[in-house]
Amino acid sequence: MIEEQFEDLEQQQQAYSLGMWIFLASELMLFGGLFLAYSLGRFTHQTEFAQASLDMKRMLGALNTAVLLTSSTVMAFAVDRGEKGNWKGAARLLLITAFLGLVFLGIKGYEWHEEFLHFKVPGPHFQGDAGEQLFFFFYFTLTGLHAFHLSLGVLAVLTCAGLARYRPPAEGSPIMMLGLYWHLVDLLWFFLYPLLYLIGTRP
Amino acid sequence: MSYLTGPPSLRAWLFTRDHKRIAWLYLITISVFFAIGGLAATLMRIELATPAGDLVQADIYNRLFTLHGTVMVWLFLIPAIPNTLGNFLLPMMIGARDVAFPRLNLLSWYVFSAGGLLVLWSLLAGGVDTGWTFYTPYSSTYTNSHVILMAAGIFVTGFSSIFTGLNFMVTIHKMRAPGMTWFRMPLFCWSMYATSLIMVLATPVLACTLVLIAAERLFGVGIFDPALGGDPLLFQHLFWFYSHPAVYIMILPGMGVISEIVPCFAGRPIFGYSYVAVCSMAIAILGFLVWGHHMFVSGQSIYAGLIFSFLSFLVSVPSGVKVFNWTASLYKASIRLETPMLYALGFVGLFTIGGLTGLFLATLAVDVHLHDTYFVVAHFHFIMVGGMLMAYLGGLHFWWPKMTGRLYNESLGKVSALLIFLGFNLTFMPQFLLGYLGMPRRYHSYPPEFQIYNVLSSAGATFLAVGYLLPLVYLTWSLFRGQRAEENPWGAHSGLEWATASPPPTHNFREPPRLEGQEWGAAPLLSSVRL
Amino acid sequence: MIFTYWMVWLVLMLLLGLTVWLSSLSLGMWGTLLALLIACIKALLVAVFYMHLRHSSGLIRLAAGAALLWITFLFALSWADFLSR
Repeated sequence: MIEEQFEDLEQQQQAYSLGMWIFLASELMLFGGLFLAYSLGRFTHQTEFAQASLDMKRMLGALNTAVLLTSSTVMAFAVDRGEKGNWKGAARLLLITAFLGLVFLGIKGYEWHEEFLHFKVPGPHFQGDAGEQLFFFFYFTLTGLHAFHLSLGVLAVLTCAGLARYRPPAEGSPIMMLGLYWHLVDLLWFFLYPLLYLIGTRP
Repeated sequence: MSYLTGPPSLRAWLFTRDHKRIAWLYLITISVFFAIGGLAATLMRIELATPAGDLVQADIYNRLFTLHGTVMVWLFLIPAIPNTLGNFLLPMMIGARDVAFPRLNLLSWYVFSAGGLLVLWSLLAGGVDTGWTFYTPYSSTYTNSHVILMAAGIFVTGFSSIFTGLNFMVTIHKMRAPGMTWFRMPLFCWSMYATSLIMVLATPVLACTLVLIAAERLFGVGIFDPALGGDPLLFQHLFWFYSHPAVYIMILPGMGVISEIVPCFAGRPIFGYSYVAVCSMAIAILGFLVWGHHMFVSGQSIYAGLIFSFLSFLVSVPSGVKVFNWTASLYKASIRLETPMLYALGFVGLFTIGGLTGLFLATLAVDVHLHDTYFVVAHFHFIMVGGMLMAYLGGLHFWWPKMTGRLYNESLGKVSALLIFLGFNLTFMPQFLLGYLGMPRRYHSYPPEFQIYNVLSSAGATFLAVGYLLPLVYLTWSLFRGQRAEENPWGAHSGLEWATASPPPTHNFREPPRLEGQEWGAAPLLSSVRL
Repeated sequence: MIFTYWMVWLVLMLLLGLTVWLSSLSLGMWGTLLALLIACIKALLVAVFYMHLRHSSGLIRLAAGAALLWITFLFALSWADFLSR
C-alpha cells in the first residue's frame, strides 16, 4: 500500500498531492502559450474575431459551462466520499461526474459537427476571411486541447469509479488527485467560454 | 549485492524502477545522441576549413547545423546531467531510497527515447534546414523539409523533461532525510531543484509552440506568417520563452557539479554555501525574464529591448556570484589536481569567459553588430561546451567510482582533460574574432580573409574529438579492468553518496540516514551522518 | 462541507448567468474585461473550495501562485513588445 520509496503514508500522500499540483502548473503553462497566441490574434484582428464569434452557439456554450461546473461540484462530493471511506458513494458520484463530462463532450461534438457543415474548419474548405479563419483555428485548437484533456479525465474517472466500487484503495487521496485534475479542466473552460463565445455583442 | 549486479537480465534493466539503473539507460542513450551531434559538427568544421562551400551544398549545410543544434540541445545538453548524474545521485544525496515516482522516472526515459527516435527519423528522412530555432515563416510556410516530424520528436522529448522535473521537485520537497533541511542539502540538489523548476514551467510553452508551427504548416492559418496576417515575432516570443530558460536547464546542473567537485578537491567547504544555493534559484527565476535578448534585431520594440537588456544584465549577477564563490573556495585550500578538479577549474575559467561575452551580447547596441555572427556561436559554445560539457565530464569522472565501483586510469583522465581544454580553446577562441570581424553564422562559405581563424578552429576541433573519444575508451575499459573503488575514493568530507558502498546497494540506505549536528548553511558533512 | 459545495455551485451558476447577460450589452472592451474578471472569480472559487486551497499547505498554495506568476511573466513581457512597436 505504501510504496517502498516512501517512509509512511503521509509522505506518500503529500508527495502525490504536490506532484499533481506541479503537473497542473505545467498544464497551465501549456494553455498559457496558446492563450498568448490567441490574445495577439484577437488584438490584431479585432473585428474579424468579433464577427466570427457571433457564429458561436452562445447559449449552448453556456449550457456546456453549466454542465461542466456541475460536474466539478459532483466531483468535489465524490472526493469527500472518498475521504470518508464511503467507496460506493464515491463510485456513484464519480459515474455521474463522468456522465456529465460525456454530456459536455457530446454537446461540443455537436457544435464541431455543425461548424464543419458550415465550412468553419480551417483549411482549404474554409469560408470566410483570414482573420475569421484564425479565430476558428484558435477555437478548434483550444476547445480541442480542452476536450482532449477532458476525455482523458473521463477515462480516468470511469477507471477510478470502477476501482472504488470493486477494489477500493485504502484512503481517499487517489480520488482527490483526480479531482484536482478535473477541476483544472473545469476552470480552464471558465476562460475559454467568454474568450471564444462572447466576443462580439449580440443584440 | 549492488544495484549493478542485482537482477542481471535485460528485462530487469529495461523495466527497472531503480533510479541508478535508469541513470545508466539515459547515459547510454545520450552518449549515442552526442556522437550523432558530434558527427554533424565534424562535417561542418571540415567544410569550414576552406572558404569555398565545397564539401557540401548550402542546403545540406543548413541541414547539418540544424541537426547539430537540435540533437545537441534537446537530445544531449538538456538531459545529460539531470538524467544521468541527477538521477543517480539525487536520492542518495538527500538520503532517500529512490525518487518520489520511480515508475514515472522509467517512463521518462522511454518517452525521451521515443522522441529521440522521432528526431532521428526526421533526420534520416532528409532532415530539417531551418536551424534549431525553427524561425517562422520559413519553418511554418516556406521550407519543405521535415519540420513536423522533427517538431513531433522534440514535443515528445519535452514530456520527458517535464516528468523528470516534476519527479525531482517532489523528491527534494518531500524525501529529504531527517535533519536535512533545505540549507543543509548538497548544492548539487539545489541546482537540480532550480533546473526542475525551469523544466516544469518552460517546456509546456515549447510544446504548444511546436503545435502551432505544425498547425500553420498543415492548415495555412496566419499565426506566424505575415503574408497571412500573422506575426513572426509571436513565434520568437513563444520559442525563446522556453529556449532561454532552457539554457539554464543546461548550465545549472553543471554549476551544481562544480559546487560538489571544488570543495572535495580543495579540501574545504565551499565558500558562501547559502549564496550559491540562493543564486541557483535566482538564476532559475530571473532566467525566465530575459528571453527577448535573442530578439533585439528582430523587429521587437526598442522599449521591450531595453527591458530585456536590463534584465539580462541582472541575471548575470547570480552567475557571477557563483564564480566568485568557487574561486574563493580555492583560497588557502589544499588543492588536488585530479581529473575532476581539472574539469572543474576549466569550467570556472571558460564559463566566466562565456558569461562575460554574454554581457556583450546583452548590450543592445553591441548586439546589433554581433547578432547572428560567430561571436554568438563562440559565446554559447563557451558556456555549453566549455561549461556544461566539461562539468558533465568532470562529474562523470568524479562519481564514476561510486557508480561503477571501479577506478579509471587517472593519467589518461588528466591527459584527456587537458586535451579537451586546449582543443576547446583552439576551436572556439578564434570564433570570437571571426564574429567580431563580421563572419555570419550558419554560412558554409566565407571570404578568404577569415580562413586562418577557421582553420585554427577546425584544428582545435580535431583535438576535441580525440579528447572526447579517450574517456569513452578508458572509462569503458575501467568497467572490466579498473581497480576496485572503496566507499570514498576521493576522500570527500561531505555528501551522503560517499557513505554508501561503491557501487551502492539497490536501496541505497536501509533506514533513512539522519543528520545530527550538521551546521546550517553548509553541505552535509559525512561526520554528521548517522546511518 | 456539503452546504459550502452547493453554495459555491450556486454562485458559479449565478456568475455564469451574469457573464451571459453582460455579453448582451454593448460594453466593448469593458465587456471583455468584466467577463475575464468573472472567470477569474469563478476559477478562484473552484481553486479555493473544490481544490481545497483553503486547507492546503503553504507549499501547495505557493505552487498554485507560482503557476499564475509564470503566466504573468509570459504575457507581461510579450505584450510589452506588442504594445510598444
